[in-house]
Amino acid sequence: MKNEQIKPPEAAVKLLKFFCRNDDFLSISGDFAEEFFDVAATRGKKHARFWYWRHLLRSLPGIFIDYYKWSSGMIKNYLKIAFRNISRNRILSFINISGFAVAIACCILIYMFIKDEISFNKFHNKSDSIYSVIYTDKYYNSSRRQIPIPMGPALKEAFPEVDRTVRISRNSNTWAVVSYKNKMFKEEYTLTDPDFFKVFSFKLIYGSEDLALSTSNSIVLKKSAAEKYFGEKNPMGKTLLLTFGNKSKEFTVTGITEDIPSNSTIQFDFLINMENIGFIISPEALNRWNWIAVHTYLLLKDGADYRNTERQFPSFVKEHFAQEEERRKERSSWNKEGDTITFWLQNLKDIYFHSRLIDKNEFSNIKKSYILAGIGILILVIAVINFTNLSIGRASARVVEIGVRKTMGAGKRDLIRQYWSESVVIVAIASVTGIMLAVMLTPLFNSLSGKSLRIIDLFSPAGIAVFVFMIIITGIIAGSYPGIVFSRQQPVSVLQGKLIMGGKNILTRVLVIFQFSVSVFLLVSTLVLGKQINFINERDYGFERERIITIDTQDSDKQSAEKLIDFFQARSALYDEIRNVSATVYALGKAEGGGTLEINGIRNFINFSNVYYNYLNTMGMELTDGRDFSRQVPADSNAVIVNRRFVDVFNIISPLGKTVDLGRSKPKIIGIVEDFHYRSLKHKIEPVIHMFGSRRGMNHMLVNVSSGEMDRSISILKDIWKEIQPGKPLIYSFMDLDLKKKYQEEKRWSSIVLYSSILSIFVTCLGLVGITSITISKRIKEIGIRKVMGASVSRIGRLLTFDFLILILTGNLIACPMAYYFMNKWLQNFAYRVSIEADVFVTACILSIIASIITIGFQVYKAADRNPVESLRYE
Amino acid sequence: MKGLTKIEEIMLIAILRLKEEVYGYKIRKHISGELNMEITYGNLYSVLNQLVDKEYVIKTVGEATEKRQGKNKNYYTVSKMGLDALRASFQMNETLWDGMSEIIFGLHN
Repeated sequence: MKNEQIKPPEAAVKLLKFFCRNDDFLSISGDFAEEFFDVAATRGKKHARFWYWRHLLRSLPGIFIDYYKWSSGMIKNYLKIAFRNISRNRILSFINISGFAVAIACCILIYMFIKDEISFNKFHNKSDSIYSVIYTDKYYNSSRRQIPIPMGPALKEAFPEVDRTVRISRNSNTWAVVSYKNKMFKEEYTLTDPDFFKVFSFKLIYGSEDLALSTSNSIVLKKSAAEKYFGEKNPMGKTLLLTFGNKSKEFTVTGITEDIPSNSTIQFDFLINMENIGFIISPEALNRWNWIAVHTYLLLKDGADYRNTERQFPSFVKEHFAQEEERRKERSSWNKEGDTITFWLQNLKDIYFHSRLIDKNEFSNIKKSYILAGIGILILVIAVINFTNLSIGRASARVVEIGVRKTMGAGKRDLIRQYWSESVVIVAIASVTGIMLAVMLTPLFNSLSGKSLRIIDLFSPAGIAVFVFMIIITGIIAGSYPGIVFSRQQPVSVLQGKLIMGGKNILTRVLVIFQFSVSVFLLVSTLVLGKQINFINERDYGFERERIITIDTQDSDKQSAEKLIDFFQARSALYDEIRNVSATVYALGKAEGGGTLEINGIRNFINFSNVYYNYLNTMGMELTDGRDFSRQVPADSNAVIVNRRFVDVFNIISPLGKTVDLGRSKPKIIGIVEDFHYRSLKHKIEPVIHMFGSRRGMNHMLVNVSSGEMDRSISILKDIWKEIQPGKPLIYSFMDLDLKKKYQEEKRWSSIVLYSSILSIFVTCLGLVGITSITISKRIKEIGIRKVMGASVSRIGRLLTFDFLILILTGNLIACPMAYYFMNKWLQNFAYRVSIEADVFVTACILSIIASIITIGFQVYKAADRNPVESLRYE
Repeated sequence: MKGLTKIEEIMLIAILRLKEEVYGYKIRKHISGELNMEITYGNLYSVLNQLVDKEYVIKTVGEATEKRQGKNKNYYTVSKMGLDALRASFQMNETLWDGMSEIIFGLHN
């Protein structure tokens, strides 16, 4: 029988090899082969091949089960060893795990943040077709998301592709007192059109889309507002009394909506029909084309391209704004071609991030997400670096074990797998810990970011899949480097301890330097941010902001408002605590007014203010020339007080008595006031013009109180208020706090960077602990010998730490210029800012050194102090 | 100690009967011949490895032969623990089957 020519079918053998467990393949394929030849001998080659395939296929289930049992056994074994190794090096493992856990917690929080940011306004079903109309005015150099009230309906008339329009008006200055039975609330009201529910996807729990806002005395509440005012969930049909200044009106509840999700730029407590502007202000206000007042959204028909509509805007402008454009062209200095007024459309989904308005931070900045993502990645990278470093160290400490295993022929694959399994276990434990950390830190993070994020939201199948995937990848990457490198080494040299990794090698050093660079960078940033915020708080604004209380007159009628203020001025004269009372339309911190005007042939932006008698004293502003408005001089109603900058910018020589041409009026300058900060410190001080009185009532009354008498003054003011306005609550705020609100973003960022730097240093120091212990264990003999030779503890200590100091200083050197560059850029946001000086860098450097010394110090001291007999024992 | 399953019993007894140099093909041929029962190699190795895990059977690796194309065989022997397990099984079987022969073969048809 020529057995050499007959062979088992190769494809079948390959199949067998693929499916069966490694250590049985030779045996089982040998059995197959043996039987194959026997069958071939008795029944021929063809039958044998047939037998082989058939039998293989029938064996497959058993082989599968066997393989499965084997691999799970293998895995259990690796896991057992992994756990054992991990508990053997408790300290190192703890460091590894905590560093990772912290990094993972960070990444989870940042992921939630970014996910939320991206999701803004996406929940509306028709969001693809909803556009916000934006107004740009080259003449006044402004860009706003508001347009005239009658323009929305006019657009619908003019353009057939516009399906519906919805106007929305809401801001912190439009509020009403809401009363039900005996409860009163001060609330911001939102005016809108009945089509609101047909355009936006806000769900009505009670009420119908068609009828909800159909009449001018309908009111739709959100769920929590209904509970707040009525104490019940379904107050349909009940009435609320709304008081706007000195006018009141009853509204009937015609709808209740779900509470508004936080990722919506459109927010409201309740809605009333836009028609009410006729009541609140005046019927003519509804048709004014020269008042840029309300947000307007267009719902375009399916398939319509918004750009087509945009292209037709210029002709629309010609039709409705012709008069205004003419007037502007008449002004001699306006020599630019084309229309000054333009409109364009921005999709609802783009509003949150891509504010193309002049005030770029209308809602949020995509940069924020980038920066946070950057920080998260950095911290994760640091943690991975630590992990790699420590893995290298771990392996180097087990040099002998590796050597022995290699000479016994343990497969390379096996070693790699074992390191992987350790890494995976560490990463798994760290992940779970990380998740728990993230859950605990969520409230803090929410207060920092101003959001209300919940971890539960991440538990979608997609989220979990992503998470698990990232964990596995991280574990593999972080664990594979030392595993592969060590397994490649020749057994003999390994035994001889000729390792080139760990402790002093280039890679470890580079990684440590990187970590310190990041930490110092964040530290410097924290310090600079802190300095700037301190600067803001300490700065003299040019008026007595800490003493002023702003009270809302709740009165839009000129005469009754002035009566109110006069009353207060008279009454408060009786109290020492209240030093001065006045009023204005634009209370600093609450409202700003301004525009570009041409005076004396020069065009510049001017801040407006309409004020009452005694304004300068009440604000504590310094009059450098001339006088304040006086009751004794009736002509003062057509007088103005300007600031120094005004005089400089418009080149007015001997300004007192000169006339200012404002177009509609030509008042005389009676006083010059010292420059003060009308706007936030981000803007340079510009010309300010104070006019006397206002056509509508002064809505902000200002009260200057003695220092330390805030509480007492408030109760005095409440009493006086009750005398003249018994039916309304006193609504007041502190000017200082109002002003500080403008810097909320900066304060938030400052906190975020502070926490990030603490985090970064923490993780870096953790890494240091690990590296130090490994380095020390490697140099234990050297230390012992030096001690025997007579070196003192401190000398050895210095020797050991010196290495690290160099690394830290290098990290500092790299980080400082970068921090300087970025912080400088950020500071440019502020017209008034601190300068970055050397002390910031020195402080950061010293802090990083101290942190390192503390972490390393203990171990180093112990090592240096050790009895050399012990160190040199194992020879 | 858990009892042996039927197939485990069959396997252990087969190994004992074959005495020396017991390997896959031999076991399969034996069981096929003696008990007229065909076990696929898949099942065979599955049970064998199960027994190895339980430490009832000891697996040793032999040398390669020409006949098997240079592939070495695994040799299997019953361990002491395996023997104990068989003893227990034997006792149990005796008790279980005691006197059943008449009943099963004697009654009715």
